[in-house]
Amino acid sequence: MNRPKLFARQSELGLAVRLAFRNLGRNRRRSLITGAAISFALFFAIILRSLQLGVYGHMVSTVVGSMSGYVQVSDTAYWPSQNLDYSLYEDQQWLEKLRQDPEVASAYPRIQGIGLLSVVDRSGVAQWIGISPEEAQSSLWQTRLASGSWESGPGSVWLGKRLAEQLQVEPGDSLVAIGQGFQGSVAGASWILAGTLHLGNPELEKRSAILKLEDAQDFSGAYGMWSYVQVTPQRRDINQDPSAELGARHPLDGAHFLSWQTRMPELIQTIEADTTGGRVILFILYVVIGFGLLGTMIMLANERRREFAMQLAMGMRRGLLAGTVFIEVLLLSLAGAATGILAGRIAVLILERYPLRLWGDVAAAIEQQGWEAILPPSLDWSISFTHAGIIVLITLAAAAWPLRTVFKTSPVHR
Amino acid sequence: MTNQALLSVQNVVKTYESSAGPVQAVCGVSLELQRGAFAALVGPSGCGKTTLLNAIGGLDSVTSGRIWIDGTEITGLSDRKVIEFRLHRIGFVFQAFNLVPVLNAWENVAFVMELQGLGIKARRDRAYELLSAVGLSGKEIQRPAQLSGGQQQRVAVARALASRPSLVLADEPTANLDSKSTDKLLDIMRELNQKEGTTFLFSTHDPRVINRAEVLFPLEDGRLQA
Repeated sequence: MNRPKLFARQSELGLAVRLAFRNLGRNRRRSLITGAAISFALFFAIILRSLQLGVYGHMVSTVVGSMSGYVQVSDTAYWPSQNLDYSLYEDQQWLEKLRQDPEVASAYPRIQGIGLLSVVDRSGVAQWIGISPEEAQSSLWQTRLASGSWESGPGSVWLGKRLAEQLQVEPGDSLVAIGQGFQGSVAGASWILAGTLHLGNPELEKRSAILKLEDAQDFSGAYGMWSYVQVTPQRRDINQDPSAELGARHPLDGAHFLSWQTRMPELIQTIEADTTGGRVILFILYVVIGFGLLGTMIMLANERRREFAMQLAMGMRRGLLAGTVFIEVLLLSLAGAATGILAGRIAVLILERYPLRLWGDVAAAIEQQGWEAILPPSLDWSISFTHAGIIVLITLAAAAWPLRTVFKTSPVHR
Repeated sequence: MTNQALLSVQNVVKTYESSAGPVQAVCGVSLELQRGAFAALVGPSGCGKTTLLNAIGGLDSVTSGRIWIDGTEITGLSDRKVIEFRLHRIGFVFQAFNLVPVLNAWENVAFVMELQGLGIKARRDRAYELLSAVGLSGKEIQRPAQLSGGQQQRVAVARALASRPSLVLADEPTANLDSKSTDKLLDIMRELNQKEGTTFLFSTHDPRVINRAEVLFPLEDGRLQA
């Protein structure tokens, strides 16, 4: 069947684009208001979603990324008890191979347990974590130093800032630690405070004591043992779980690879519940904007009905006329989307530099849940483009009305 | 249909459905128009002039009857073919000036030629030539809003002639013009009719147009009067 093309000739496309572009300027106020509505909706959506995803990323990177790890390789019996007795034997060869995997950003062995710290008549429960020298040298730990230094001799400890405040100790002070050691032994040591740490998570700052791996093994009596190997994959998307793939490529006897999603289901549930709320808000925003755009399109169609009739009478094909209207709406939506993306991106960059900080009861509640009460945005470009795509599609859907008018209009002048 | 007839209308009936029942706007009209004619459908408002003109131009369907233009029966053409036919063979001048407001004068004149796929030079040359013929030299790049009513109607006439159509249909073209503009417009159309050999068919009740027309088709209550 010989069907007419939308633009039968190149000159028709040129005509359609020229008419569409000039039509945008014939009612500048309406074009500006419509473009502004699209921009505002997109701006708001980008800010909202960037903050939401940014907060999730912040939660995951502080609670998961820096402390327990995105992926943990541990003895199959280690979780959920996290008992020191279910530790792994050191395997440097296996560790080196794991580190050479292109999907692995870093892999650090750790040993950890619970102990009681005391200074004079003050004491506090701490989770002690022995980290390898390589991990201590990583930029992550270097930037976390609130006071003191990483350069120190054996028997040094670095405390979370709040724990140090609670114990009223400063770098150079001594602490006594006792706890349960490997296979029922009693662990005990005297440490020198080498520094305090800002961990970005109040709960972690209240209970973390960081040691060198060898000091921790010595303290607990778990010589040549690791509690787990903390693996940071290259891809750290919330929705990705590379543990199975890594486990298949780097098997270790008696051990398994566990993702943070498996170890911390409550964190996933929190994110999912919050995501749903955010989506509802965005849906309402899009519905409101969608009806606003539909109103504009109905006005546009009614205003032009007579002009459409004239153009059809002149011999303009309906397909070409519809194409002209479509291009006009597309140009309008793209212009609105471009300004929305630009404004949203600028705002996101400002919020990244100066993150919103919550205060009062809300901040206290959030800190109680274990993360710092700030709202850092996500810088992921896909947020901007996804929502720009949605809003352009909504605008084009609203354009169905004037397109319908084109196909319904009779060329008869009445 | 005689050999010389450009337009042949045979027993055309047009009936509208209204809330009060069917309304017969054109009742069995038959007429023929010779090539190069300067003719008018005349009669009072509501007599069916515009309805018949719309049917002749393929803008509206007929209830029954047949219409030939230049040997083509347009009443038998599909919607797509009618649009194509109009594009190449019929020019329109409407009562309200009906120019594309976002195109300037020469672009409006060239609009139909652009739809036909003519190159920009051919379009521009023809548009400038026609604008000169209708006395609008120097106004080529002005938008419709910058032109007077009479000037806009002259642009519309130039546009109707741009594609060298066989037939120009003009529906009350002088209805919104003062007498000076009407005379000038009629002079221009008559000159183009004679110079280019284009056939003109008006629908009008304006005596100034009626006086200038060579052939009159009087209509009353949808019927052609003897």
